[in-house]
Amino acid sequence: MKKLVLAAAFLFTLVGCSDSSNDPFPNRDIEIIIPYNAGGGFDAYARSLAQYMQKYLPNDVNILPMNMPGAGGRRGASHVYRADPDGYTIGIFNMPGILLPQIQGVKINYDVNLLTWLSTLSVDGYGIIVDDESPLNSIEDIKNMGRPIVYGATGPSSTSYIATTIVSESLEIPYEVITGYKGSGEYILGVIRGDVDAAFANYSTIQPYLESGDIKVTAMIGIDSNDPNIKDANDLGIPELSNLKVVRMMAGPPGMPEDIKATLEQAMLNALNDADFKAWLESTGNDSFPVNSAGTTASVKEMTLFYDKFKEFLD
Amino acid sequence: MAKTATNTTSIAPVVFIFCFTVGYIATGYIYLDEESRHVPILTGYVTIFLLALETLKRFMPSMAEEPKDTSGMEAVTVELSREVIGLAYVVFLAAMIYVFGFYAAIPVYLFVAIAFLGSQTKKTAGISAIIASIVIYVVFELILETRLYQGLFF
Amino acid sequence: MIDLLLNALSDIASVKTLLLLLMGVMFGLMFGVIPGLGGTTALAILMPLTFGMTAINAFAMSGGIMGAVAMGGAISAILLNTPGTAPNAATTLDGYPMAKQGRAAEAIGAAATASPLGGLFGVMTLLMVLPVAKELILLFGPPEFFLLAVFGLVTIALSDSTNLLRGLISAGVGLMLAFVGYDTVTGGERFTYGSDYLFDGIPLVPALVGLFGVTEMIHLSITGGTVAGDAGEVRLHGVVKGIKATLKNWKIVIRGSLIGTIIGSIPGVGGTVATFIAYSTTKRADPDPESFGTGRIEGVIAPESANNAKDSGALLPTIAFGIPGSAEMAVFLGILVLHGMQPGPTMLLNNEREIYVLIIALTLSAVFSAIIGIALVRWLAMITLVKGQILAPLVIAVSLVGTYAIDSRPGDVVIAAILGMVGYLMLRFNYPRLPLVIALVLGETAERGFLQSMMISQGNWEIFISSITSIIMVLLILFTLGWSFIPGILKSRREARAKSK
Repeated sequence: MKKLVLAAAFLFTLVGCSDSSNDPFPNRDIEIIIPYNAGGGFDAYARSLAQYMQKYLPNDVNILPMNMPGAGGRRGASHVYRADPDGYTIGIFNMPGILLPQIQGVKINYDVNLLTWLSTLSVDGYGIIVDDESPLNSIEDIKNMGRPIVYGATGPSSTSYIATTIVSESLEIPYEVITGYKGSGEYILGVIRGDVDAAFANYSTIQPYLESGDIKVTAMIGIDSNDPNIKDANDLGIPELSNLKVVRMMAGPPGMPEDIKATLEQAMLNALNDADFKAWLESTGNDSFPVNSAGTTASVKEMTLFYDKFKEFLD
Repeated sequence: MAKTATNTTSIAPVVFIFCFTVGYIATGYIYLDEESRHVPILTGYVTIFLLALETLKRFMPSMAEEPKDTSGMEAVTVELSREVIGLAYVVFLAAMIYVFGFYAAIPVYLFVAIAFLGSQTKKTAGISAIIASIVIYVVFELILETRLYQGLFF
Repeated sequence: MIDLLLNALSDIASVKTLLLLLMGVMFGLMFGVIPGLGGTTALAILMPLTFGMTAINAFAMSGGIMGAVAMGGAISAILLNTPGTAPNAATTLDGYPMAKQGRAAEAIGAAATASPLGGLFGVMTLLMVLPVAKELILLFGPPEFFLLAVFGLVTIALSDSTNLLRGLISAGVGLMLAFVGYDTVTGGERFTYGSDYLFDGIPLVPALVGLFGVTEMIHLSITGGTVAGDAGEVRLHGVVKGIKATLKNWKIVIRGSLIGTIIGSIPGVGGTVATFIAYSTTKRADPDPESFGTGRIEGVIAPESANNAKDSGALLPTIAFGIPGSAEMAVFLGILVLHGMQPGPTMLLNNEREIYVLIIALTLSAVFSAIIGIALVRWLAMITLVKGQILAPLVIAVSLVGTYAIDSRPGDVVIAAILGMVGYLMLRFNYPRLPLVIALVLGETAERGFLQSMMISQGNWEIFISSITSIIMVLLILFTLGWSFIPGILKSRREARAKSK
């Protein structure tokens, strides 16, 4: 009887082990790693993209989204970094989200510049928002406050906090940051409530709040302003800070073969130009900003150098 | 169902929790940043204070009331060894899952637990183990498409 | 508003939409029953399926899932003392003792009736409050969150009047565990010993599955027998009795539902705390509070009413501000975005139609899942007759698999196992487990609220009484403290006086 059980257990173990084949790429479903929890804007974006991207891949394969939240995105990044570079594991990342820990010297299991960057998906900048009825309408108003301005942000290694710190230091504005908000929705609420004076939020995220008239934008960083009343990084005399953007990019493990890389890159770019996908992007306030693999890899290098310059602010 | 007698008066839990809290506070002082350690360490101190009160209660004439058991069931004292074994089975399962993965651990654990801890016939144990494993596989892998953990070796 | 509801009803009335709703209900029940899995996982797994669907169909299915999960979870809570989902933990307190007495059918009947009724009142409350949703949400900031968390902690820690001190100690341990992980307020890693797993803290659902489910199953495996042990026979016809009991106790249903809606609407506090507070409040208001925990049916009615109402509550910040009121709502927001909507204050303006569909779907789902639960009650109740020696290892095994299925982390399994053993020890040495769980849930919110308040006010404690909301909360806390201690003090004074005569 015991032998039977052991045999059954052994069989189960075998069943569990996967096996790979040697047919042309892609011949089975591809896994796309989302380093955050299911639900929420980033996750929805990734899933939507996966749907459209798989249309442009040969052999009718699917792209299966897999959430791998943890350690602020580092778990997903490590997983992709250590996966086989066979093209069946890729990931979508928020940059500079996973770059920052690397610059801060946190112990991580990946190197951002060694990942195989496939393409850029979208680019977003920041709006410095204040409550609709706030007297702060411009950076000058902030400088003339007579006291340090109080910002809200999520955690001290978040992109919003980093942007807040870098911009305020560069503009020499006295400031304080209330950290610990769970998400951008929460600190936007804090701005409206008056717990904090202002905050840096992704420009695409704040649209509904602008529309409902709860907040207004004092300045924009990382986006060019079309409104003469709202200054952007160039107007403010800190043009290098127009590099402060939040970029969504897709990457695979280091050392992916060129042909596999090209297939994925092409599918990605086609999806980004797909009419239906673009319509979806518009209705949800996202955008598409396709950049190919070479361009993306160069961008990442630039980003690394850029944030490295501000290392002292990053703790 | 027989109920194990609850042991209200043993000093063991107080000692155990005290050791845990001391370790916690020590870790706080050694490893944590200055800023982030305040609240946890404070909580640790308060807990130690409460533990002290709990210990003091023993010396007061009005002893702690035991929660009334009105379910009408007799309390049965189970041997300590059996309790330890019961706990050990859970450790066994967790360790097996972690090292060998679910596919190996679940059938083996079910068989061993039902047959030996549960004192059922090997036939019952074997059949239950196999059916349960198959159901788990079907529900989780096929229907839910969760890839069940395969242990450290696969 | 009535016309909006009627429109939503007609939207749902199509065959395809109804079928998707029912599919959601079936999945919700299944995910609810399996410990570890819950509404959040269900929505996440089924999200891809919603792709080709219209928004209305997707919302109908989502509502189906969310409304049914509570019922599924109640079933495992009652039969196996293993909460199917975190908020069902409160249902185990009296539901499982009822099962042990052979009254499982009665308990399931009561839960099945309380769920849709509680859900209905929750929805009604939501609809009434919707016009002022934004103003309500704006009432809550860091000081209010801190006070709320303290209120929750105080209510639960002091709910067991015979074990006050140990309840507080449990809460202390729970808080210490809650502080493990990366702290976003101060930016420090705490008690992680460099582990990436612990970076994200001690996860709630595995801890709960361990403390309530695995613990009881260890207990069962050691003592043997069946769940419904010496009760002689399992009364399979108790369902009607259970249904009648809930209808008779309609006041408890309303109270539970109100608590569920209100507390469920507070992000970060949410469902688990709501059901426990509903339970505690009902226990306190009862003429015989000591008997709670031995199989009082009111102890099932209260949390289950709250459990379905909490979803309505959680919808409030979600649709008014795009801030998820619960983990399920966070996933739901993803489904929303997937269907071309943008979360934020404009949802109520732009997507009213779909939102009302969701609300109707939630209500219908609670009804359908209750009906299914009642229909299956005979078979379900028979589980309590299965030999514990077989049942216990099975449930432990399934619980651990379910726990793993949440986030695919083997560490979750380890946490469930460890806390299962800790829970057993707590059971044996008579330390209440509830306060530990609640502290685990609320610890982060409490600390964050406190630290942020201190940052905002620059160290001035007056911030905690500077708004009407916060003053009300302080009064509530004092009131609860008074209610816990004063009767005890008065009683011992009376006894002392009697002795001295």
